[in-house]
Parts: sequence; structure tokens; C-alpha cells
Amino acid sequence: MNAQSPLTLVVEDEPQIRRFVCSALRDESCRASEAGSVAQGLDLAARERPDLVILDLGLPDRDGVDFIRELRVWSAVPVLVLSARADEPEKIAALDAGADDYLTKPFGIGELRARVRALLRRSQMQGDGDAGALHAFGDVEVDLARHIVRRAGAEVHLTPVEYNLLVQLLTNPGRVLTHHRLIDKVWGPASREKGHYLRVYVGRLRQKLEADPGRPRHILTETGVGYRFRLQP
Amino acid sequence: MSFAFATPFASTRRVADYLAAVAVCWLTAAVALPLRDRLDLPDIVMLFLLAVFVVATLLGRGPAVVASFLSVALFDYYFDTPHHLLFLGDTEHVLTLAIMLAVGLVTAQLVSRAAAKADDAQARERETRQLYEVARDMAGARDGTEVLEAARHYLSDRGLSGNLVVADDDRLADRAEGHHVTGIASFPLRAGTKVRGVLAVTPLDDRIGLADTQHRAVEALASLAALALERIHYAEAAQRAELLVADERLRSAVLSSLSHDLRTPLTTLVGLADTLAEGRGTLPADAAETAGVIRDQAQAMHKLLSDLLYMARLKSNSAPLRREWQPFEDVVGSSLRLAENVGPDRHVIIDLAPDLPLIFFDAVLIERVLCNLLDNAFKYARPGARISLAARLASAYLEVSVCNDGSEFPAGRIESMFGLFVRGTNESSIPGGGLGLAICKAIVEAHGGSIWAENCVGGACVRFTLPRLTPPAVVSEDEP
Repeated sequence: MNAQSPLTLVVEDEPQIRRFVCSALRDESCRASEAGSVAQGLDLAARERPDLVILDLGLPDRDGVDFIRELRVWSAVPVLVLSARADEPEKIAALDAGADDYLTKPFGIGELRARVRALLRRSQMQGDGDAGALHAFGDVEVDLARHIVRRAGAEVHLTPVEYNLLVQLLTNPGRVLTHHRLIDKVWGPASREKGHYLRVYVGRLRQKLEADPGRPRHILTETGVGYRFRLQP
Repeated sequence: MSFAFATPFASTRRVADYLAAVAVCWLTAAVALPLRDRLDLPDIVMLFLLAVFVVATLLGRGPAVVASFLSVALFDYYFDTPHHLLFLGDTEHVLTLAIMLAVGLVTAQLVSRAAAKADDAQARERETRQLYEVARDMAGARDGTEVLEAARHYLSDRGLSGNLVVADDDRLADRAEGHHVTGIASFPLRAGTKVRGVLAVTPLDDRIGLADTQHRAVEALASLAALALERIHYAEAAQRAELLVADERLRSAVLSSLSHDLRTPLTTLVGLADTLAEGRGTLPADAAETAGVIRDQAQAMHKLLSDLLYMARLKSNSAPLRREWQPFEDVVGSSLRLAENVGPDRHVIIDLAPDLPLIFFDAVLIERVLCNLLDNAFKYARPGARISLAARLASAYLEVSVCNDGSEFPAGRIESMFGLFVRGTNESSIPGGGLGLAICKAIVEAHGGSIWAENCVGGACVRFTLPRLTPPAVVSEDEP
């Protein structure tokens, strides 16, 4: 383990879960430091400046969502949430507080490693500066500077709302965006009751950009929570 | 009150009253006799009239009438000249005697009428007080027995006995009104629009019927009892509702702690077994395979656990539906991602009608339904069978069907398949808890839809419906 390998902070009160999560992290050539409570986790996060935080929401001393809120005051480090409850409101609360992604327990090692890789890649990208104006996924190319969307070389016409929605998704690859957040960003915070607009417009984007809109490969639904944009299927 | 005078005690009192009246007259005569020569006759007449007045006031009309006649006789005999002759001799004082008798009788009549009025007022006052007392007792009654006790207390003061039949049944009132057993009067206890029971009243002495005044009193009692029973009914209903809420809260708390406590060890089990299975050559091949089996079994156990928890939540209504307006295609896409990722050769043919409207549903739960139905379709189908998912619009419903070709449902079992722990083939080697379809049914019915299974040509289908309702408008943006 060299000092250059990314450092991950695992905040989880169950030692056996910590054990296999850390073992999976080592397989991804990450260093891992462990905390069993919110207080200890915040302390370690401040001292060690990790590149990624894996956080269990059901911690003994305080609510995991509190951890995210406090962390977000001074750090933009990616946070992957582990939720024991298949309880969508809790996931939404964690994501709205600033978490980047979630895994519902129980989860497989492969799934965990994939999420960790995606989040670390993104934090590196953020570290390297802006991602540029040109994005590509599937057979679609998007030029954010010139507001041009092409599919298989042909220009695709998007309405302003469709374009804004695409920009939100495109600039947060791999990240779960809650319904609330997307509505706030695209329609404005006063439009919370426009939940059905979001869903209709996501459907239209899929029709225009996905190869098989019934089985989307890039604009994915996180049922009951929000949407996730996946650059590579 | 009439029965109060019928007691033996009352009749002896009456005789004593008459004797007292006679005594008062004789006393008056005895007092006046020594003064006979010094007093004028009109003064003596006045003395006797005073006596009649006193008798009328204290003893009532009957004794007063007796006193009137006796006074006239005593006056005539002892004081009118010639003395010691009754209604004989000169007739010069006939008019005096006649007026004396008349005044005496009129006095008796007037005084007794006033007394009767006073009695009546007292009786009314007593009646009101008793009604007030029974109303107070009933207001404090906690159940039907205490209402009956208060009613019985009130009735026994009136020489009546009563019984109370408490029932929330309107037919009871009709029966009670149309039903007249001799000696028993029944009064329906009507409060608001509902009849809460029947009060049956019998006189203690069965020779006496129910007098009119009693009838009115018992009617008043019946409406008081009805109000009391209604109040008790609503108080009990409120208490039951409160208990139910507390019960639900407890159940919900137990469920969530159960879910947390069972998921944590399962997470550990899945994670550790998966670590071994994915160990990249650190374990011999068969040990890695064993670890994989442990992981899959733990996953299956988790699926069963969450099925059970879903079921418990749905049955206890502790998890409200989170329904939102959304396109149905969205949930189909996410369900396919879950169902097709399980195995390599899992492919579903989708057939969605174009331009489906927005539907109002809980996406997480309907995703569960679709996943369970697709899972079942794959599990029970022959290898290589075609699995299809279709949705089409009916007038009031969206109808969704999941079908496979090649394996039909066993005949005669179609109806029972949606029960808890019922499986298509008994003791089959196909894994599953028999919960899947029961959960689908609970979810679909919570949405106001219905679910059923049928065999179609060469295959098996499960269909369910979701109500269409009226979707909110989506206003298209102005094109630049």
C-alpha cells in the first residue's frame, strides 16, 4: 500500500460488515480506515481527508444523515450510503443531504466494488478540473458549449426543458439524483408538485436518446428515489 | 301517584282524618257553649265556619264536607232557639243555616282544590327531580348494565320493573313496537337515527296497567337511556380506535426492528460468502463454489424475509402507499433491469400499448409485483420459453399481463394460488416461499385493482389491473 492509493473511510458499527467491506476495498487497491460511530467517523474524516466515505445509516450514536450534513459543510468527498432498511424516504433524505450513491443491504461484493470504482473515478475527475464541454454516451454526443446533441451523427432536437434535464444528468454521471433535486434544478424549487412532469420528460429524453427506450441503458430509474445517469452500461 | 293511596296505611289515615274533623266540630261547640248567652248568633256561626275552614285546610275536602254538615247540626241543636231541637220549631234561622252550610261546602271545595294543585306541583317537582337524578346517573354510566341499573331504580320508585335489551339493530325497534304482550310495555331506545335497544317495562303489581302519566315518564326515561347508550357506544368506539392506533404503532416498531436485526446478519453472511466466492483463486474451486451457494441461499433468505415484512406491513396498513402519477413504462424498465440481470438467458418480450396515460401508483410496490410475476414466469417455464409482459388500456383500467408459453397452471389450483404459502406444485424443487403471488394480490388490491391467473393457449398468464383515474395535465413548453 503506498500513500498514493486512495483512502476510504468506512463508518459502520457492525465489525463483520466492516471486515468484508474493507477486504473488498483492498482488492480495489484502496487503503481503508474504520470508524464505528458518527463521532469517530467525523473525527477521522477531518484528520485523514479520505477520498471516499462508505457510511452505514443505522449507527448507534447518531443518525447517519446527520453525519452527511456535517461532513458536507467542509468537504465534497463522495459518500456511498449503506442502508439496512429498504426504506425509500431514508435513502432520499441521505441523498438530499449530500450522499452520492446508496447500496441496500444485503449487497454483493461485485456491486460494492463497482460503486466504489465509479465514485473514486468521479472524485479524480473533479480533482483534475472540469470535464470539458464534450460528452458522449452510447451513440450520442453532447456539446454543452454549443448546445448541440447528436445521435449517430444526426442532430437531435431537444426542447429547453429536455436539454436542461439532460445537462443535469450528464454532469452528474453515476450519481443518484432524487426527484426533488432534479425538479429543483430544472423547474425551480417552487415546482415540487411537478413530479409527473419530471417523469414525463425523462420518458421523452429516453425516446430521443436511448437505443431501446423500454430498456434504458443510460438514463436509469432508481425506483421510488430518483434517476441515475450511467455513462457506460 | 294514584297507587300511593291504595295502601292500607293510607286508608287508616283517611278514617283518622274524618274522626279529627268530627272532633274539631265538637270542640268548637264545647268552647262556644258556655258563651252562648253572651255572644250573638252570627259570632257563633263565624266560629263554626272557622272550624270548617281549618278542617278543609288541614284535612282536605271529605272531612271538610263532614265538618260542614256537623257544624250546621251542632249549631242548630245547641245554639239556635229553641235549644236542643234539631230543625224543628221556628224557621226564622233557616236561611242562616242554609248559608252556613253553603259557605262551609264552598270553602271545602276551594281549599281542597288549592291543596290538590299544591300536591300536583309537588308531584311534578318530584318527577322532575327524579328524572334529573336518573339523567345524572345515566350520564355517568360506563356500560349498559349501569344504564339498566339507573333505569330500574327510577322505575321501582314508580312501582314498575324494567329490563333492557341492548342491540344495534333497527329491526328490533320495529319488532318492539309491533309486539304487545299483556302487562309488558316496550319502548325502543332511539338515539339519532339508530335504535340502541329496547326497554321493556312491567308493573310490579300486574293488576294495574300503565297509566298515561307513567307512560310519558317512561318515554322520557327511554330517551335518556338511548342517549346514554349512544354516548357509551361512541366512547367505546373511540377507545377501540385508540387501542388500534397503539397496536399499529407497536406492530410497526416491531417490524422495523425485526427487519433491521435480521438484515444485518444476512448482510454479513452474503458479504463474507461473496468475498470467499470471488476470492480470485485463493480458494480451491469447489470451496469457492460452496461459498457461492451459501451466498445465494442467504440472498434467497433475504428475499423471503423482505417478502414477509412487505406482507406484514401491507396487512397491518402500517405502510401507506406512496402513490404518484407516472408513466407505466418507467416501472417496466426498472423491473426488467432487476428481473433480467438474474440470469444470462433471461429475456422478456415487452408489448406496451402506445401512448399509455400517466397512472397513479406506488412505483416501489408495483415494481415488486412485476418482479415477482416475472420471477415466477421464469421459474416455472420450460427452458427457452417465451416470457412476455404486456400492458393495454381498458375503459377504467390499465391491464397488465405477464405470460409464459409452455407451462400451464395446474387445473383447479388457479383460484387458490393467491393465498399465503400456496405453491403451484407441491414439494417442487423450485425455490420460493409461496409468498410471491399473495404479496402481488395484497399490493394490487391496495391500489384498488384486481389480480387473477388464467391459462391461455399453450401457456399461463397472470393479469392485474390498476385504476386509470384522471391524470394531471402536462402542459407542453412553448417552443422557441
